[in-house]
Amino acid sequence: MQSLEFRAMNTSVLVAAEVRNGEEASLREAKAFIDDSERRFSRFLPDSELSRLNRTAGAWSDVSDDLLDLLTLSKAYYQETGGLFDPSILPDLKRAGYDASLEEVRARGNTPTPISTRPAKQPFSEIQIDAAAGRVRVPPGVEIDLGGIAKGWIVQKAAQLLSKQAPAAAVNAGGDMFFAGRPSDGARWRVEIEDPRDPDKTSAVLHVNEGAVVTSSISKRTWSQDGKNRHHLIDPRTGEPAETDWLSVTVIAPQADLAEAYAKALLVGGQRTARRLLLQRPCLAALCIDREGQISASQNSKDFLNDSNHFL
Amino acid sequence: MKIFRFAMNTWITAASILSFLLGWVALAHAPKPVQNIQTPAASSPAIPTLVPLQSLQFGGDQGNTFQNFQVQIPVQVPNNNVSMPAFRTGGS
Repeated sequence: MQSLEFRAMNTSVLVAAEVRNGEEASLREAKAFIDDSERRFSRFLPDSELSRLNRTAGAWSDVSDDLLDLLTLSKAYYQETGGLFDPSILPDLKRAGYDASLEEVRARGNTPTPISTRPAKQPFSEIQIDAAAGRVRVPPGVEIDLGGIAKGWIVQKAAQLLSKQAPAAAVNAGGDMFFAGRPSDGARWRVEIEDPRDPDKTSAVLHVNEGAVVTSSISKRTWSQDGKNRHHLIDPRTGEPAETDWLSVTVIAPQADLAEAYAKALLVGGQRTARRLLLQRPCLAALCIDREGQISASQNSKDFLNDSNHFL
Repeated sequence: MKIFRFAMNTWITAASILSFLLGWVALAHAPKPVQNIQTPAASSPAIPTLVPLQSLQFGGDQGNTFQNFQVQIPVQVPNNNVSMPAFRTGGS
């Protein structure tokens, strides 16, 4: 298995594939795709396609097929999760202090709480998508952050790109990963779930076939605001960093964008909404770790905790 | 005698029907048998398990519901495949 590691999307990225020596071009091709996707969908880059779309809220804007795909998926997941997954929380993220890259925010030290209260805005479901014409109208006052879905979408596309030239490929971006094919030794892909209380420890080990493994956690992207510890997972119902039953939620799914959206929705919604969310998507498996390190999990997650079992 | 036979037949018929109905009602309201859900034994070496918690009840057991269960912590079981990169997930 050949692999390439680099930094992108503000995290460590690994692309790996079973290619012969001297045929690593496909790995570099996957890296190029990831770098290009970041340039197009990052909210931190003023010239990104996403930033330009946010500046034209209220008007119809032409968008690329990929951005159209991301927004269409986002709207569907927003509606499915009852708004627990909501890409329009960018103003809330900024109010919470996450208005620049995490390195810049942390370098500031303590961020003061903004004086402004949460402005009223139209719900994300009001976004209008004209797929035939390739254009989108974002409601006025709405700002979109694709950080909750784009990484999954990108890793899956990159892995599928690799799999055109390799029987087995994997892309992992900061713990959001997609596996295409299966290693030639016949074993399933082995994934360790980090203990959210101590990143050096492991809470569980998964064995998966093709598909995605994504984790949302309130322990990773944190900073200080007015002396309070803040994290990046906004509860769309309150506009504040979510108060959660769990520290992390890991989702196993056939698609990475689906896994990402539901990992966030499950973490934000907690125990009260977990059953409803999982019943409407029985292809998902979820493992949720609380502050004591105890794991609550869907019944089908046991399929991935034993090396002899199979994916759904 | 005819009257006696008629009365006996009627009584036997009525008693049979009544017994059948009573038995049906009794079975319909009988408690369901207890099912033991066994966690399948793992093939990995014996390693410490988490202490089980109070189970989370989300109502019913249909579909993909939640439960607390013991997960074997595989920290002591290393990844023996040296050609395979390590995959680790914990949020980012």
